[in-house]
Order: sequence, then C-alpha cells, then structure tokens
Amino acid sequence: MSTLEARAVSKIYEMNGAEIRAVDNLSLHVGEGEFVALVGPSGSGKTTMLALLAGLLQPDVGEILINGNSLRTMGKAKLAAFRMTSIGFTFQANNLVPYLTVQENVELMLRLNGTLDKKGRARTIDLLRRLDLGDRLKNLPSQLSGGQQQRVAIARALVHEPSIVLADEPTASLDTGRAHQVVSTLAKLIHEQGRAGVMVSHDLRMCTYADRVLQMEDGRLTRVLTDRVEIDALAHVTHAEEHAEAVA
Amino acid sequence: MLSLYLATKEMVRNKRRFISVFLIVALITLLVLFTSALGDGLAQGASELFERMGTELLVYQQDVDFQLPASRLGRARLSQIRRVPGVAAVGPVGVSTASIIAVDGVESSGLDVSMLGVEPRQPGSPATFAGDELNDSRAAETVIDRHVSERLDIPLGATITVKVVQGMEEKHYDLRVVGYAEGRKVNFIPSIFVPLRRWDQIKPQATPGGGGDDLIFNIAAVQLNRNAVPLDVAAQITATVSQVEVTDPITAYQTTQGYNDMMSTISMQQGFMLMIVVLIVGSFFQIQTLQKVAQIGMLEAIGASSGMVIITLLIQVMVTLLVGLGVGAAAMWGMAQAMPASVPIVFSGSKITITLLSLLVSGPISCLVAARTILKIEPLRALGLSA
Repeated sequence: MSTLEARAVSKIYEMNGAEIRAVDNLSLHVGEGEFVALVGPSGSGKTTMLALLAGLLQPDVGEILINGNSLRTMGKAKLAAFRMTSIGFTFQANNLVPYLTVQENVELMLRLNGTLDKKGRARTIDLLRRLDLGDRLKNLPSQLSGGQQQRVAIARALVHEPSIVLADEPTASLDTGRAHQVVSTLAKLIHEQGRAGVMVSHDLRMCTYADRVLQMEDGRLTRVLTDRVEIDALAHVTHAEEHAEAVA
Repeated sequence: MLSLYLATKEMVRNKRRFISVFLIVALITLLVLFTSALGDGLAQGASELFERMGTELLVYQQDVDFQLPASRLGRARLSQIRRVPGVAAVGPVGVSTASIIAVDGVESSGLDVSMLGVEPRQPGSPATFAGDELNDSRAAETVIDRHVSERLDIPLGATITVKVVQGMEEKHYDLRVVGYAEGRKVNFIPSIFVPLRRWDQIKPQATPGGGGDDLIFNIAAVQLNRNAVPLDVAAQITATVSQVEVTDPITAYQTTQGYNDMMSTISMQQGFMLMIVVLIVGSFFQIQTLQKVAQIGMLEAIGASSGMVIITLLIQVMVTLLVGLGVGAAAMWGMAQAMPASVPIVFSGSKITITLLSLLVSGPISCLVAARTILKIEPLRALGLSA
C-alpha cells in the first residue's frame, strides 16, 4: 500500500514580526500508482509543501501520513530512518554525491538501508539501463549532462522501492526535450511500480504526465485538475503561449 | 561501514586535493617541530654543561652573581668544602677558551672551544660514551664533547693542537684525545676537558706556563652522600667556608646573564607558533567542512543520520591529520639528520607530543564545530532550496 496524505497542513514563518503562511490549511491525498503535479508561481509554497510531505519540516498545524503512519509522532532519528526506507527524493540541484560514480550514487540508497546485495545491484543496473544510462555506470556526476544527472537522481529515488517518490523541480536546469524525457520516465516508473508520486514544478508543460494537478498560490490550494482533457489543455496552452513568446 | 566507504571514496577520487592537504599539514608540522627543536637546541647550548655535570651543588665565589668566569676559588676552599658533613666528593672546574687549529698536525678550519680544567675522577670530570675518561692530572690529554668530535671529525687517539694567548704570545699546545663525552656546551661553545694541572699551564693567562703556586679555578662541583639534603649541606657550606655561595646546577644556569631573557623569547616564540598553527589547521578543517553544506544536506534529506555524516567527516580529518603529521615528523627527523652538526637541533619528547596532540585535536574539534552548524540547518536550506 502506497499512500500519502496531508490533513489540513499549515506551515507558518515569522519574518520581521509578520506572520507568513507558506502553506495554509492544505489537504491532499495521493494513492498507489498515482502521479500528482504540484504547480504554482515562485513563492507559492510548493517546495515547503514537498518538505512537509518528506518529513524534512514539521507542520505547525495538521499532520502528514505516509501509508497510515503519522510523521508527527516520529522523532528525528526515526524520521530519518523512515525517509531512508519509505521515501525517494530528487532535488532540483545538488542531487548527487560528486565523488561517487553513477552506479555508486544509486546504490548509496541501498547502502544506507543496509540492503545492498546482488539483487539490489542488479536492480540498480537495470534501472539505470531503463533510464538510458547503461553506458554511464562508471562515470562521475561531473562527466554527465544536467539531464543525465537528473535521471541518475530518479534512479536513486526509486532503487530502494520506496512507497513515496517526491521530486522537487526535476526539470529546473533542463532544456525542453530533456525535461519531457525526465518527467515522462519518472511518471512511467511511478505508474509501473505502483508508487505514490508528487512532483513540484513551475513548468506547467510537465503536467501532461501527471494524473492530477494541484495548483498553489500564497500557500493555498487554488485549483485541482483531474480531467485529462483539462490537464492537457493547461499544458498545451502554456506550451503555445511560450512558443508565441519565443516567435515574437 | 558506510561512513568509512564514503570517506575513502572521497579521498581516493579526490587524490590531488587530499595529497595537497596532507602536504600542507606535513609542512606545518615540519615548521612547528623544526622551530621548536631549534629553540630547544639554542636553550640547551646555554645549559648543557650544568645539566650534565652530575653533581648536586656548585660552589661559587661570593658576590659574583653565579657568573662562571667571574668566580675564583683556590685549593684551600676545596679542602674546607670536603670537610662539611654530607659532602661525598668535591672537584674543581676551571673555565677558559681556546681554539683547535689542527688535528694530527693537519691544519683544521679552526674551532673555538670552551677549555675546562677538571680533576680526573672527581666531580666535574665528564663520563665518556667512547674511549677513556681523564686519568692523570698532568697528562697532555683531553676528553672532547660530542659537538667538537662531530664538527671536526676527530678520531680517538688523535692529537689536537689548541691555540691560546698567554701574555703577548700566541701559544700552541698538543693534547691527545682519549675519550668522547656527551655535549657540554658552555655559553653555546662546545667543550674540551683537560686535566686541571695541564689546564692551568695552557689556559690563557698573563704569564706563560702556569698561574703560580695556588691553583686557581672557577667553581667547585660538589657530590653529596646519598642521604644528604642538598639545601642543608648548601647552608652548611655557606656557613663554614668563607666568601662562597652555593647553588644547584639548574639555578646556576638559570642565573646566567641573558638566560631568562633568551628562554622567555624562545618559549613565547614556540607558544605563539603552536597557537597560530593550531588555529590555521583548525580553520582549515572548519572551512573544508563548511564547503560540504549542500552535500551534507542532501545526505540528510535522503535519510542519512547525523552520526553517519559526522563520522564520515571525522574519518577524513583524522586520516588527513595522521598522514600529514606522520610525513611532517618523518621529514623533520630526516632534516635533522641532514643538518650540519653546527645547527643546534634538540628533540624534546614532551614538546613533540604536545605539538602533535594539539594538531591532532584541533582538526576534529573544528570539524565538529562546523558539522554542528551545518546539521542545525534544515536539509532543504542546506541544499539551497527555498524551504
């Protein structure tokens, strides 16, 4: 069972005496094999929400449940151990350990879990081959392009077979072609392996690979798109607008 | 162990960077140990004779502030001192200077030495680590200290020619080398030991050939009976022998003119040097750790424990320091062997230990301070994301 649930979650920061609600009373549920896109402009609270879902931040109000387990009740060490086994995470930058090869970076998750064995090694290589990185196993991150690095990060996020996969702006530093390739692969693997996936992105074109799109603004959920036609329309409108801008 | 795996991988994959760090630590170690050894060598040059005298008390003429050349004693005083209860033996020590100008008739580059007149087999006469001790009070023999033997490469049994000025004349005397003693510098000048009566003849003086009927020397070295209390015997000597002052060898060299100034300068220099070096090494590892903010943030975000991250950092710091300190200490030893004998290098076990331990501790402490700062940062902030 892979489920991710946020119940009326709020995260409040104080800045110069003023209260800033980075996330404001937000609830969501992501089921097994479901890939959800969390979109919105910069400062809308997307990354904070992702950090809350990962247990990297604790909500001031509400709670996060992963497979029915509340993160609120876990101490720091237990939370770290839970993250290690149940969550796969990719970031927009600084994803990889610079002195480990592609294969070692992916296997790092298994080493952390203490589950690196022949099967794990085989799974690592298979996953990297599926992500077109079969010929890059022994390369260091500095020898890879941005897209290749993101794909390695995706492999690392999936290799330990977590329930939840969280991706923060996985296309931030990629060109359009690479961005589509990375997100489509991520979505495909989440669907295939029955994980619950959440992707934060400011790039609406990537929503076309999501099963559901949650739009955030000022920490609040302002719009939920579940209809495939609506989602594709959002992605294409954005694409058309950008194309027009580029032509102009 | 994952920490060891990550630490090793980083060091192996970043060989150049880590070799540079090893070398920097090694050079810093070499610098601090070398300056410390030079300082100790210099200090020893002022105290060596007294430290190795092997006697409990030294008797000086009164009111000369324990200045060796200014003190004058005669044989009558020796007899009086010998009669004081608690005194086991007394030996005269006369101090003068000379130059060794030839070895076995072959002219040498010339070496100024302290020429010490001592009574054979009496306190003040040096033990030898090779050859024989002085035996005959009138013999034209000498025991040379290690510094002299190393600098002029004089074999046992060789005859050295010393030059002194007596009256208006420059006189040359031959002395046969019968033994080697450990270093016994007097005021930074290496020493040769000559039987007292021979010394009296050849020392620089107004009239060539001897100082007259009463043999004059500078101080008396006093050896005590096993159960005698040095302070009590010193008080009794002062009370029963006229116009003398008594001290122990340590106080004697500490009261040498300029000794305290020199020692405080050396100690301050060594202390500052160690402090600066510890701060540099500490800052170095602190900066090196702080540069890993993003990497540590990422490891924490994917579930690595703080303990694992800290152990990884500590392994690298300790390996870097141990290799660097080892290479530095070995280079120091090699350099000391290659240095000419005229360079005073003395290894002090306690100072080497303090230096190495200070450096060994400063790295991990600085690393831990930096790691504590980093681990307080939320992983997403460490990654540079806007959490």
